[in-house]
Amino acid sequence: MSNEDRTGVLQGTLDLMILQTLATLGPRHGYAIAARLEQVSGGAIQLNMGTLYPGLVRLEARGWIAGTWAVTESSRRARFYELTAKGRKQLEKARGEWLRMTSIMSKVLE
Amino acid sequence: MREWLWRVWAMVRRGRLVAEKREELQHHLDMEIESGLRQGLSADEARRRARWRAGLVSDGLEDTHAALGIPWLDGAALDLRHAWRALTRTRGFGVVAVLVLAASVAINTLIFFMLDGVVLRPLPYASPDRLVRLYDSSPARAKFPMAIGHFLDLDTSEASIESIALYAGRDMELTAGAGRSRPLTGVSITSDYFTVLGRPPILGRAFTNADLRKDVRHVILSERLWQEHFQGDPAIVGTMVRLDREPWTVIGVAPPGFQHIGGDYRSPPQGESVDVWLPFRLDLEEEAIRYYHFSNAIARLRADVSPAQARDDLARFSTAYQQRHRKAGAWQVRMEPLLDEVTGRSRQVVWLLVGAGGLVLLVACANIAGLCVARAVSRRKELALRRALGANRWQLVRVGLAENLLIGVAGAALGLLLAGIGLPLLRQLLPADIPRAHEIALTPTAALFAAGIALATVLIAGLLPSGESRVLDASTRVTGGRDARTRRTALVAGQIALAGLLCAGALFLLRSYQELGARDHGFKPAGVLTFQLAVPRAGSPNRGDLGRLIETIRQRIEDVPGVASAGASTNLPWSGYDENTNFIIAGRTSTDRDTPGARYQAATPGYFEATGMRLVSGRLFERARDGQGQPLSLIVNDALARRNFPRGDAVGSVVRIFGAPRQIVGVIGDIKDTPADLETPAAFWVPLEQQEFNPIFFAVRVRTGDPASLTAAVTAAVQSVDPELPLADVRTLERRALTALAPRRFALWLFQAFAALALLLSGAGIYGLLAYIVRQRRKELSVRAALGASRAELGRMVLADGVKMAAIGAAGCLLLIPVGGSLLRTFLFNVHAFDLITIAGAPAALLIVSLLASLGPARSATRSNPATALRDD
Repeated sequence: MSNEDRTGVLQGTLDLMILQTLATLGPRHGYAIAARLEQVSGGAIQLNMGTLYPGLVRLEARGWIAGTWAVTESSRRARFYELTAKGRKQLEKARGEWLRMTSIMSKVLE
Repeated sequence: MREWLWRVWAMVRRGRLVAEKREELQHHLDMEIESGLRQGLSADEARRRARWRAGLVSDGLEDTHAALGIPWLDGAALDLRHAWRALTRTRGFGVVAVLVLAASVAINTLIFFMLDGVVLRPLPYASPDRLVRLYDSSPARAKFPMAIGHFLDLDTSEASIESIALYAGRDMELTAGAGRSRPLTGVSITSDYFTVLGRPPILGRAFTNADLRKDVRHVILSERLWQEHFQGDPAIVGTMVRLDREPWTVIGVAPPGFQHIGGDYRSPPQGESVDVWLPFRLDLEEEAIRYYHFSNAIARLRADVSPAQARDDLARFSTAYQQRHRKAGAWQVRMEPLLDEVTGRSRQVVWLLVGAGGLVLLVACANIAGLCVARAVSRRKELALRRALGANRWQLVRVGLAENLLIGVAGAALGLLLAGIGLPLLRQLLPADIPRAHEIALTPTAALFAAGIALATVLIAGLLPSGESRVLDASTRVTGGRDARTRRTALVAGQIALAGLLCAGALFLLRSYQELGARDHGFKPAGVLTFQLAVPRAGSPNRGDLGRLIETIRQRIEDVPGVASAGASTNLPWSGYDENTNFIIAGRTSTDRDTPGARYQAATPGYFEATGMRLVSGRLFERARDGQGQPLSLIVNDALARRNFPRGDAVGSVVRIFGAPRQIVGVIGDIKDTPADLETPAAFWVPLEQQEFNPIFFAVRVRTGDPASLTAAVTAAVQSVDPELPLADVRTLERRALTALAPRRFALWLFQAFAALALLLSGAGIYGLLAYIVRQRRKELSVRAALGASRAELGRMVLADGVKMAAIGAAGCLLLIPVGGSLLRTFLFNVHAFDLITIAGAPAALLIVSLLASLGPARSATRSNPATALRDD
């Protein structure tokens, strides 16, 4: 909980972002996910390890992503995460909901 | 759901997962540093930047570790770990609490086994709640055996009864050649017996109405007899077996484990007590069908009929029956639920023990609560420290609860183990006439019960000290308190009062057992061997043959060296025999019809001498004067003499019994039906040779020594007359008398054990509290010693504290004793609820125990050293 205070990222949002990243890039390790999010957000999102890894555990527990150990280009062992079929379904659902919500919010706030 | 499973699995292999996560996080950090280096930072700067951006590995790992579990389970595990550490640090507390709990849980679980087996569990028949026992009932005889006439009409016409059957005991001999014959317990039944109970034979068929006639020799075997004696022969149906030296055709085998329903009139007890079932003859003369009452009846009510409705129907039926058969007498058909009839009297004993067990549990609860209070106080400093370090109230209470939970689980497990070990012992101690004792067993329900009471006890005990809320305030000064002492004193006094109540209960029962023992029972059970003899009636022997046979056997037994006297009778004292008949006193006409009946019995010469009955006036039966062909004689008991011959003219009077005039030759002292009865029923004996009965009981009095040592010689004497005749139910008369007292003895034993345990617990409670007080007052005692108090004075101070607690408890117990006494009323004999010995004895026991328990602490108080006052802090 205190992690959310620190980063200002809501749990559901973080889940969605991770899922979307994996859907776009394919299997990636934790650092790559964080780097990608920082990059696409123009530096607005900097994920602390204390936020990112519990999030990955949560997604793995729910069966949305699956982690495997593999060797990187720089030949170091790292854990790569991959979207599962269930995770893909969840992403579509959450994505739809999020877009609907933001469109409503933007109408309300106009 | 899946997520939960994943998390549980993750918790199991958390160690490995966390190690993996550490590697993952380290990799993340390294990548971050590398990216810094790529941007041209120095190694130090890159490391700092990485830490700032990604955080510390240790922090991230902590959060990840938490994410890998289930939060509340993690909390609980932590609490339990704390509790375990705290308990192992103060091992004494944990061990004592677990032992106290285990002992009381074991006792209560054993009692629950009994309650469950005897009272709670349904009887092993189809829809047992619809089964009822039926009796004939009149103002003089509330529950009398049923006349066949009632059965026949109920069977055909009564709408609320689905099915009905009659049954009565009929023992047989399984004839298998010289010395190998064995007595069998038999019950004759009508055709619907198995239908009523809903358990049809597994092989062959049940009896049909065509079987219920004279000379139909069809038999249904019990599954046990079929297995044991006929090796489970699947082709047994249709084969012949020899019973009472005649050929019988096996027509069926009863289901395995089939339990007979029992009955109070000539019936084996409830349970797997029957070896063979035989046809119950219905083809009797009109007189025997309408006027004689000699059968037990069992019926099944229709499912759509309520018991009240059935009772109404039976009342209507009885009235109509009386109108149809005016001479049959004013009998009402009475209905009682089968379970009540089976468990009847024993239920009281069981519930009494449940109550006593509950008291033991309360004592244990107070004891553990006392320990918890002491512990809470001794941990004040620790708790205050935890509080100051930021633990909230709930977390502190939770640690306490977790401790008690551990104690509860350990206590329940150990208690259940002890109960399991004690179960065979309990079965041995159980009086034989406790019904359904064979059903007492370790069941899942009992295990649940044990766990339930153990946890309830520790949680209640744990809540008492946590009411000590000030302990939990960070601001409290970290010192011990007077408050805790008052609380513990109250708990100890409560324990003492309850222990005193149990002592009083034990004393009440002991006193009434002694009163019963001191009572003149009218016979002398010591030094007598007894057994049953059922002479086979094959080929309907001539009248007189049986009497002569018995007399020959009797003389052979009397010739055995060491035998003082021997005799036979229809029944032995306290055996539950209850056969009655009407009689007419010669020369009295006016009250003939109103003459109440009397117990009829038959006896041979030597019987009264062998059982040690007392002759009041006249003479006993003599071989030379009361045999066949001699004038018909009669011996009556004192109760009959007093009732029917109040002027003392019984001896010499003539009474018409069994259709013949007989002269009273003697009056015998009264013997009650059961040891504690107040009234003796009127009874008489005819000479066995003049009126034959079968089966009969022999009583053999020895000159000296153990009567059982003559068993072989007596058996040889019997079989020298008839080598195939088996002796059944061989026991000493003393053993039979003890059996009649068994429920009382059983209740007494258990009460004594409970009282002893409760005294022990409260003694431990006193000891613990005094030791604590002495420790707390160590400084004060030293100062006193320094100021010149003698050792004796110091010791006395502590003893006085102990006695004070005992006195408070004793006062409480005195208030409770009369209540307890009146609850025990039905178990007491000649002992009043205000029995002085009990009222004085229970508090005396409490004082002795508290003095003993105070000795240790008092001794340590006398060792107070004046120098301690100076040296201690």
